[in-house]
Amino acid sequence: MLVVERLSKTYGRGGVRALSDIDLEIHSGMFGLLGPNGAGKSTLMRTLATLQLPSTGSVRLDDIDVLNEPKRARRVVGYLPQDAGVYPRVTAWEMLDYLAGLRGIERGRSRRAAIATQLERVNLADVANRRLDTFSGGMRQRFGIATVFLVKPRLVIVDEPTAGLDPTERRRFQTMLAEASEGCVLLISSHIVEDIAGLCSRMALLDEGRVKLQGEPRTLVAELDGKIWSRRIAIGDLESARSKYRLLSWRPDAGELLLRAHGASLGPEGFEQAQPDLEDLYNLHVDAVG
Amino acid sequence: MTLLAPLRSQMAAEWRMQRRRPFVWFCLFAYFLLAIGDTVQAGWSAEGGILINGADQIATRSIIYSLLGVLVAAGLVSEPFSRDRAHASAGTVLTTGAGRTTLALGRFLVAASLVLVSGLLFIPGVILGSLAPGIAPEFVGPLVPQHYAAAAAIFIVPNFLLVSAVAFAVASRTQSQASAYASAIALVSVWITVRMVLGQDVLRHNIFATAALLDPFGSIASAEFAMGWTVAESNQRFPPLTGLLLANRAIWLGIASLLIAAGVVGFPMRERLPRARRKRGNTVSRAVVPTAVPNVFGPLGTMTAWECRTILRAPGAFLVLLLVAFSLWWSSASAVTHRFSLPSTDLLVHNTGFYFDKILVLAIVWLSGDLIWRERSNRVDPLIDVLPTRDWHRYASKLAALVGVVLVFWTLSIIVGLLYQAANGYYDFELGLYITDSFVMKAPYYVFLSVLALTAQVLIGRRYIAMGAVLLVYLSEVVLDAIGLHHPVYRYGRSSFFWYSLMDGYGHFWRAHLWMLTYWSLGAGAVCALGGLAFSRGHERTPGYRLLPSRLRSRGGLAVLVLAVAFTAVGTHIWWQSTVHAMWPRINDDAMKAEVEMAYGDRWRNVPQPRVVEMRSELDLYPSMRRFELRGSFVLHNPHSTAIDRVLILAEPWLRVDSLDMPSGRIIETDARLNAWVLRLEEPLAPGAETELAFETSWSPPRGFAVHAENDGVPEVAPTEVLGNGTSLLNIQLMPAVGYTDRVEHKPGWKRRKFGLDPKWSPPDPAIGIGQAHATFHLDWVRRLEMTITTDADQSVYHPGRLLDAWFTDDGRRSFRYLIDRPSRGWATLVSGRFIESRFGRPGIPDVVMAHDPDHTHAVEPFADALLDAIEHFQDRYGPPPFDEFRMVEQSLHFDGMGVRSGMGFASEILGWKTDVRAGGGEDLHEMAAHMMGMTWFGDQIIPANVSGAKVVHAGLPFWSAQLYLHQRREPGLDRRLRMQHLAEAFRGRSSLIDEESPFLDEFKDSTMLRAKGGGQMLYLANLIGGAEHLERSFASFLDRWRYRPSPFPTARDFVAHLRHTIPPEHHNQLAGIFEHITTWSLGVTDATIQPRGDGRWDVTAAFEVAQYRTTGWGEKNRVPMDAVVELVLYRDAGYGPESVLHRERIVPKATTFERTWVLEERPLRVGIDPLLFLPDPNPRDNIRFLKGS
Repeated sequence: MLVVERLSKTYGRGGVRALSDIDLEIHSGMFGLLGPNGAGKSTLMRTLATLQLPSTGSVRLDDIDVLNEPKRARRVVGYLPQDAGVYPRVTAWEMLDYLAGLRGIERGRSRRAAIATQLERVNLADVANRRLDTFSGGMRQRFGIATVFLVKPRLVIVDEPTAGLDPTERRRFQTMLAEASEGCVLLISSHIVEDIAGLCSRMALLDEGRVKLQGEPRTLVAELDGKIWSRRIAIGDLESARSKYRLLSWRPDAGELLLRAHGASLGPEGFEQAQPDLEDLYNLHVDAVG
Repeated sequence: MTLLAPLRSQMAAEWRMQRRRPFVWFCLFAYFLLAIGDTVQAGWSAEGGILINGADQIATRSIIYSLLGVLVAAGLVSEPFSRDRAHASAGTVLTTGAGRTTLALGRFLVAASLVLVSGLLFIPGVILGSLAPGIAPEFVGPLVPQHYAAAAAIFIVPNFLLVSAVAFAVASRTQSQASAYASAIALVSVWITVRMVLGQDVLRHNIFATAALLDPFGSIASAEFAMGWTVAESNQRFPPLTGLLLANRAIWLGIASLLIAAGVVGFPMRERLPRARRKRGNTVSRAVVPTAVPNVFGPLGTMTAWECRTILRAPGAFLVLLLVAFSLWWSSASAVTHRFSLPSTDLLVHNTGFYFDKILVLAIVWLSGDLIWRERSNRVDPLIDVLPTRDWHRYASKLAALVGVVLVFWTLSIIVGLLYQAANGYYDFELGLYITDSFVMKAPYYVFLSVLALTAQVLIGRRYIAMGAVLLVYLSEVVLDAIGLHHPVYRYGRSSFFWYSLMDGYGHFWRAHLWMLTYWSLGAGAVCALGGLAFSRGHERTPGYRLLPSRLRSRGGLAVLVLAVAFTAVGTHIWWQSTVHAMWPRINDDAMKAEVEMAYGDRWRNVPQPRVVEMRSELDLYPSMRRFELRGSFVLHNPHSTAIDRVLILAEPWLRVDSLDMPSGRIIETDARLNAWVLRLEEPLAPGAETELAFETSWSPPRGFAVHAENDGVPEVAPTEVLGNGTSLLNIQLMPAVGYTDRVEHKPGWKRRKFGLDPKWSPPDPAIGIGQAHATFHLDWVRRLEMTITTDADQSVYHPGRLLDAWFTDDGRRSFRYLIDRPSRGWATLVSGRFIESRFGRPGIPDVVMAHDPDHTHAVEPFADALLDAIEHFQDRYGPPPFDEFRMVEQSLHFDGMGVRSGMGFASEILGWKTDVRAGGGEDLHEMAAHMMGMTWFGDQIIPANVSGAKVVHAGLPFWSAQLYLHQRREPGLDRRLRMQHLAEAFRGRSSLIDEESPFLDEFKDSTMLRAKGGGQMLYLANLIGGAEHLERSFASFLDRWRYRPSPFPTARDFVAHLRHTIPPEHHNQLAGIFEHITTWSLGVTDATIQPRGDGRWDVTAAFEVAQYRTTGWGEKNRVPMDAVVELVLYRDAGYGPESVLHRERIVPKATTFERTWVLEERPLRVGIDPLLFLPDPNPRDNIRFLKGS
């Protein structure tokens, strides 16, 4: 179990407060960290991955004090950063072999097996000897997963994993993460609601360095039952609708705009009641539409 | 307009991108700084008359900078063409509708402009550098803007354009920076190859024109005229854009234009997909992966291997290694060819001093940045940082990889050396010497530099600033040299400098080297520990210096402290041992001489002093302990007409004089620092009377150890120093000298000014000098010279004279007693070493005894044969030899050069003993033998008077007699070829003379001109009067007249007067040209045609151009009417011997250009003017021309 208590991070003297009194308790399985760009997700991820120190607070992974025992923590932590790069002129197999060595997997049959297993698992076995700098974005992300699961980690941190992937790659990647999360804490951060909604049994919503809410996505969304309304309007009426209603989102639809709004009873205003989803929750709390 | 607008837009965009590249600014900054630094160094170490603003200097340096420019061009020009592929932006760019010309040319023009700007920064860099404090104005010279403009127009712009065009053509097509670097290196390789083929010290003049045209940078073509220029001409004249240089520039600019066109045409307009490698299967099986705790050293090895692998896979890694190998091969060829020496290991290990070390330093500086920043550059740092590895493993693996690069470089140098030896049929591989010299002596500096470079990256936290800082540390030595701070204790990573000796190995130098190695190992260890402590992982990019204070409080901080304390302690010990217990700074002989002149010159210059007429001494030599003790005595004679009541005694500054004793003499003045004493004689020494001076001297190594710096200008072995094997000592340097000598006086004005002396040196008063022995005032004809030398049991000692006795002493040491009881100059060299001896003889002449190291047998027999040949000739021409047997002895390299004294020759281990007879035909052995015999017959049997022109008798006669001998024994073509080389070297040397040249009749210093020019002119004279033998007879009669003559001694004027008596009057005017003026000629065949006549004969017409010059000391030329007789010769074939001569005539040309026509029975092939190159002509290549026509 990962326990984060009163974690804060301020950059520079009197500078930007990136995290503010974060408290989280995360059990095995996939945990989603949802938040807009600049919410502090990556700072939190890097801190949990031992790559930077917080200003205050503590982090425990089972019996490991992550902040004070980084060496122990690193043996059981896997981290896939947002937009990770690759070494030039190095093949997938070579890179995994290198990382496996540093992970303490002895040279020989067991290491070869570990590498092959991971490459097959992420569907890259056919291109094991291809240079990483020739991989597409999706292939690189899948390769990243292979690097994380070379050993059995207790905490896996995946930062913005599906950004830039096409729908097929994204689905493939999500499935892979779901498979991989058995027996470990898999922390996935994203500003894409769909990633969290489909994958995570629990989640937290982070904005401006603070946890706005946390819990099971379904439970959190259920709190919006009966409060979400939709309506079609002419495109030119958007500004008056914004001033009049608490709009959560809108999208073009057949020459008109389809609005989603939050409210106790908007039926008399021509709205129809709609089924709430995680995106509504997200937009409600982060004020995504301004 | 439609083309220009997009082109302008493309160029503007390109400029924005280029100016944001740190590499661009690095290149500009580096070039500018390099020019400043280079100029400051040149100014601070300037000697002679070459000016920083001199025309030829500017030309030469602009060419050198062009060569450096290839890497700049490759880097700047190739990036725009590899950019789209690297950043996958080709699709965006290619779909804009812009054409090839816009895209390719636009990018190229911006990049090439930046390359040109970086090249042109050379000019402000040099000008700014020349303003640095400490550079004497006389070394700077007037700033002539036209010279810089010419350098830019003729060399910088065309050369930088060429290298840019090469990089463009390749990078545009391949979109690969590596290929561009390879092409740039290939261009330099072309230049190197052409230079190699042409030769370095000895040029192959027959291929000069071809080489000049093939040289991409115009360096050879620029020498077409400049090669023969004097100092004054080099300063004033820029190589003219004509002849070969014009052709060269036209050819290579044409090639550059074609390459630019090829670059535009070759620019790919379709996106190039990355090439996938072929699938290669791995044997895999599914398995459960154990989660393990990494052990301590396993990851270190893994990471080191990884770092090494990524370095090796970098583009250009193998190309750099190839360039290094190529430069080493070239250096090997240069190092051995000019002396026709065997490619022995001791020579080849010095090749790393040319380009190798500079490339290695640049590699270290660049890779240190790459290693530290590569994870962040490639955005893999989060993947790596999160791994359970230790920080110090990360740092140590990068350091190990960098050290690995150093080791690979040095291993490569060994491999190239071995391959070169094998390719030249030399199989005496000395792997031990290679390994010791490379890995123990030289590589440590680069390892220490690697540590510094990596730590600088960590501590400073800014890649390019850290690189600049390390380069500054490397270049700081230039500044330290210039301000005289030579001690290696404050030169980062440097050990005590010394050379390897074949006979003595590393000898006693080991001690200082090991201490310095320990010192810098501790220093580098402390630096390394600092780097390791400051190295951090993670995204917070805190420079190491900020983290350091907190981390120094850890256990690592204690390690730094311990290392720093040990470093300081060892440094203090070295300082103490090298300054308190040894002499530091080392004695600067030049400064000491100036001090002696200042202290004693005016007071003692013309004071009559007694002369030595007998010498007797016993020398106890302890090579194993590196010390000697000498007890000796002189018999002094007063040759003057007045009594002598005061005697000045001077001794070499290194010598310890333990006692001086003269009957009735009392020391009244002592200067221990200058090793000078004044004795008052209670009973003045009457004219003609004799007395005795007894003395004891010694030398022993310091209690501490001596350290050396490469550029401290002080020899690592003093003339009185004893080595373990191969010691060579000149007897008079072990003994005090009586009276003042102008030998201590510096002659060049700049040098006198440097040491605070009156810049104008005056030759001695002829009335007094006529009675003084030139160079050794205190020696008259020595009637008896007796020397007993005792040395270590395993060594022999050689000394001139008869060996009276040799025995073992009671304590097992070996003693030798030598005696010279015929008149001698009193000079003798003694050489002690572990020798074997071989004796060679021929009927009717003295034997030759060769004493040499047991391993150095290769050239002994041909060397002895050459000596016997020379003895035979000199005995035949000049009478009996002044020795009973001739001894030729090998000495350690530390006692430089070769010489001969009283029938004993000595040459350092690299001269003659390693001659590759197969490669050079043994000609250098014959030259050495000839010069030794010239010195022996004329140097040992005549004392020249100490007046202006003394060198004519002292050096001219020995050298000229040797030249006459060599001329007769050599095949004419070979003789001409070697003379051409001598002349070319002499004239090339003339452009960098550090002192003014004098007419022979005034020459007082040992001038190479006297030899090289004079040698040819004596042959010219000989040719005029009927051959070398005629002139030899004249020399012989001069020798007969002056042999063993007491004072007054002969002068140059006596010699010229003698020549006037022995050569026909119609040639007397030539003597004035040779001896009274500095005369040079410019002779050439400008056109030569041949036409058949109807009667079977041939019409031959040739046009000639002739000029005769008199020049000033620095070489300003004044044309004078031609009065020399010159030969016009028609040759039937390619030979130069009498059998090849079809027609010969002598004329004194009246016009500067003239034409001659001949009707000949037989068809000639070539026509020549002074074809055998007797007259000194800076451009001898046009003296011969093939006839053209039907």
